[in-house]
Amino acid sequence: MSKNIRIFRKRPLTLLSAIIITLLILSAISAPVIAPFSYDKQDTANILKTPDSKHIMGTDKLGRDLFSRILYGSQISLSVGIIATLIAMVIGVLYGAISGYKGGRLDNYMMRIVDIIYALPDILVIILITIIIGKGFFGIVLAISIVNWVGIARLMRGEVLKLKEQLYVESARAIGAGHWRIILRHILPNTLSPLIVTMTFRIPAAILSESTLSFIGLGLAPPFSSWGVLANDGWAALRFYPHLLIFPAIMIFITVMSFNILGDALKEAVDPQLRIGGA
Amino acid sequence: MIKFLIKRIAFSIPVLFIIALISFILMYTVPGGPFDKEKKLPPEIKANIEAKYLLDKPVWTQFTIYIYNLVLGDMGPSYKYLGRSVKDILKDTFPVSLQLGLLAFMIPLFIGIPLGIIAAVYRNTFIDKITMFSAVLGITIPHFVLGALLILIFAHSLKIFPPALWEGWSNMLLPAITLGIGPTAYIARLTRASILEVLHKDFVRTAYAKGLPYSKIILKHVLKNAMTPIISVMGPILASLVAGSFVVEYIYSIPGMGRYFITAVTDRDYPLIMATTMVYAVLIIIANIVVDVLYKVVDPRVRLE
Repeated sequence: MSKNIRIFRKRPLTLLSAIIITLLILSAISAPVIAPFSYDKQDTANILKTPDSKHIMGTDKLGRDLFSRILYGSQISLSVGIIATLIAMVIGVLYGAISGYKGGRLDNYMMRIVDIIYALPDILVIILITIIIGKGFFGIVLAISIVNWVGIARLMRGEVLKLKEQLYVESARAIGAGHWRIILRHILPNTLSPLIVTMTFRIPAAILSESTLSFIGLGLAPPFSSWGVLANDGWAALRFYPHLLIFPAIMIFITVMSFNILGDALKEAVDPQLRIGGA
Repeated sequence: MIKFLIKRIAFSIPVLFIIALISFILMYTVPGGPFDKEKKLPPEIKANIEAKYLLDKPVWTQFTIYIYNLVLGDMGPSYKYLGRSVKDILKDTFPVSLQLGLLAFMIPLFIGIPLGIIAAVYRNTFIDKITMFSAVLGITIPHFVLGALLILIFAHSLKIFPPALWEGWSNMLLPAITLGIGPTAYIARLTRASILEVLHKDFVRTAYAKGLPYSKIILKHVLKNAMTPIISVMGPILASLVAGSFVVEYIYSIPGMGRYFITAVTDRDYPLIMATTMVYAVLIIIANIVVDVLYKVVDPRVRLE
């Protein structure tokens, strides 16, 4: 526990980021309770209103309350980020562990596949995959996972290569532990810190991928009102009703930045040699 | 050196072939073709169109013909822009993306690296903290958020720059900044970290001991040795700037490859999607080869194999 608190000492920004992330997750879960309006409730008397006391973030072209829509949107944006990252973690960890543990020719082939996916721009690959599996909620989540697992696989392979030469792994093998037992019980627990650090960077990256896709119209579409979809709505009206874009954009930016600042702090806490500096 | 280049180029051909094969098969297996419009076409007309574009042939035949034509330099017709070949479209759009990417590349090169040096020289001071905090902002701000903000401020409110299109220098500045800010922040952080690492080396202490002026130590001894990691990311950054400008081209309505790629995806214009993907893959492969060669130039200890 003391170690957990130490991350935040003398780092007001990191503490603030952690608080923001907690608040975001809590408000996403309790959106139906705290949202002043339903996400599709139309207030026809107040169409395209700029922020006032009744609609604190204004309303859109159908008179829907933007603040409520952003609250509900956070459910979608955050769950895309978290689910996609978790799927990518499972695939990447298993793939990397097998590749690193087995080594030799299999490792070589497995890593060439990773290299090819790694080389192409993420957004390009995600778009290509959504052409095939469709761009519903799970299509997007799956496409983002398919792009993200390769980085995790590389990291995991490196860790396994390092750990499998350790004495305790050798002694586990000597007393007759099977391959899976060694990987799951002895190697995996020791790779947790770098994996958690990557996770804090992957989640915002996934959120960003989804919002970018939705923003250019190749991602989610209504009724899924993720922040990216809201930003896309707002983009059409940027000139005269900038609040429709500004609020979703700020939400995305704050979320992505908070995760990144927290990730930087965790990275330093795990590996003090990596004092790249920053917030 | 020449042997290395030949080897690398030879190795990239099967990689490109695999990328082409995978994307081709993936696109072929998608339900719904490019000519499924909201308005149903009469079956005979649809059959005629499909015969014209060879879509009635088996996928292997199509792929063989595609690769054969590709080697001869023909990337097929566009399904959407009738009468224009994909090659013509790329000929018009690629230079635009290249121009935008190169312009954006100037920002990390001429602002990112100096900022990193300044932050490292004045490490742990206020200047350093401000620079590194801005770097965190720069790395995390999404293209469309920054782009929209710049348009709102400089185009709609102040009316200094036009909000869209690609006609002259005034059009290029905002998109280049939007595209270049992320890499600039990244390079600034990397430069700072790399310099701080080199500052602890023995030869730097020797340089101090010899009584060399501080500026000379930094600019001559430290910087030269700190360049290797920076150069290694410069190639991929340039490739990603030329190939990763979908969003920026979309926001500013720039007639580049990225914007055509987005519309090609919406229109299911398969030959255009394929061609853009291949151009991106080639760009990235070239960038990586250039980086390896530059390594050798900067650090003679590196051996190319």
